[in-house]
Amino acid sequence: MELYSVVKNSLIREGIRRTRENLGRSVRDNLANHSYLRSYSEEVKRAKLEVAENYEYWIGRATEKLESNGARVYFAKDHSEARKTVGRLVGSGKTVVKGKSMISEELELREYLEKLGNEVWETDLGELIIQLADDRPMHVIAPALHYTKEEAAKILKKIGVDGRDPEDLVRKVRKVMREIFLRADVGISGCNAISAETGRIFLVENEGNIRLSTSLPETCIALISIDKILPDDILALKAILVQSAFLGTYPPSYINVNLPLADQEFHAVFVDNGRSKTEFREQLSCVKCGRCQLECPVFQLAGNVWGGRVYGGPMGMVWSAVLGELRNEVFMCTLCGKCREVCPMEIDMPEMIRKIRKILLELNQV
Amino acid sequence: MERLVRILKKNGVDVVLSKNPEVTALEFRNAHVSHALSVAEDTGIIFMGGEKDRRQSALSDHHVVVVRRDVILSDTVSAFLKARNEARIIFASNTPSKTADIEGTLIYGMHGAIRLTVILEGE
Repeated sequence: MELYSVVKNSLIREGIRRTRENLGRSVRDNLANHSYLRSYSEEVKRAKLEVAENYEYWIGRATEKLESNGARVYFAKDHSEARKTVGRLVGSGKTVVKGKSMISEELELREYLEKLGNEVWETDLGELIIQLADDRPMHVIAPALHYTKEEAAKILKKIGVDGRDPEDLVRKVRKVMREIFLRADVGISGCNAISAETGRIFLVENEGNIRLSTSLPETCIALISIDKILPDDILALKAILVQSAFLGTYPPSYINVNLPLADQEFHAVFVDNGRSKTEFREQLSCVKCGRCQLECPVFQLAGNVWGGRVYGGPMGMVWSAVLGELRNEVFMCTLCGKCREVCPMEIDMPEMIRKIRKILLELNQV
Repeated sequence: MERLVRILKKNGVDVVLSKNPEVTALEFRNAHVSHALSVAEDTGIIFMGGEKDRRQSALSDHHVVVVRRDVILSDTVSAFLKARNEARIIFASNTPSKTADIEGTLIYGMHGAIRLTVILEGE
């Protein structure tokens, strides 16, 4: 979508406003009712940045534990290597069920696996709507916030779901997807946090799709961006609690603490993709709750068009730089500082955006 | 206990108090019944364990969890540590499955259990 058409699109603005209000209220309640969350944030940030000082060491520790638990472990230095690794593991002619995962968006994995001749399903309802609409997620947590119920109903007809209202649509999608879960050959998940102490992979969700995707298929693949590594189980647990609280759903409906199951072929793929070498290191403490997106005045007008290829909003500007892409759109930032103010990790995104501007100006690439 | 009941109800959970939760669980013949390894009183997060239980509870329309009084702990970290000591595979639920992906409307019963009933040991 082109920027000016997005700015004129009232549905996008309304979707962002509604999501911001709903989730913002929940976040305020979560912080008021659970005072320990702020100190958890500080602990997790400190730990993540400590891990970022020496990813090689921590990947080694986590790998050792994963392998002793029965997982096969791979390391991909970039986007292309990660896709090829997963492509080799999946092969072709398979039915693949995917949980919502930003690292898979980074890798454009669904499209890649489809090209290899696989039937690939996003199983999170919002992501499924995005897949069927051939769109891209508007927000990290609420990918389909810009669709009305009428539009969602129209899109879901593509898979034979004919529903009157959201509840009816949900019941019918559940039925269609349940059959797909039961015949799926491969389940792919992301990873919200991994403990290097035990190799446990922590995943939070509300729908139950990740639990089904990682429990039913004979083959399970966990995509782990290396910034998700934490030294131990407790810090990994705290990381997912912080993420849930700041994305507005606390406690999360489901917490999955995954290890390979007895009769399951389990693969863990670590993905670096620019993280270990980045000069924007503070961004690696981001828990991807999406608060900065919803509170950003530019995102409120321009949605994910203001951002990078994968991540929108202020976090998108900096994550793009981590992934090696400096976006000219950084000059649209107002430097108001709202992103830093609402970030659970208090990441100084305005400062990093200033730095990206400086680099672009020096490279004369504006 | 009162706080836990309030939190569970707020999370969309049906709460049943029973002096003998094991016997009460027998009344739910069409549901999948799990036994909590631990529960966090301040969040209502219920840890359970085992591969079979994880699969079957995820597939069930109605998930019933038996909670003995002695597995209720004050917070999530303590509850996690207790569960970790008792099972290799652990998982947690504290609401029926849910989504708000269509216009922010909260709907229970997306892919996992449509109903979650917790039978708490108590009066």
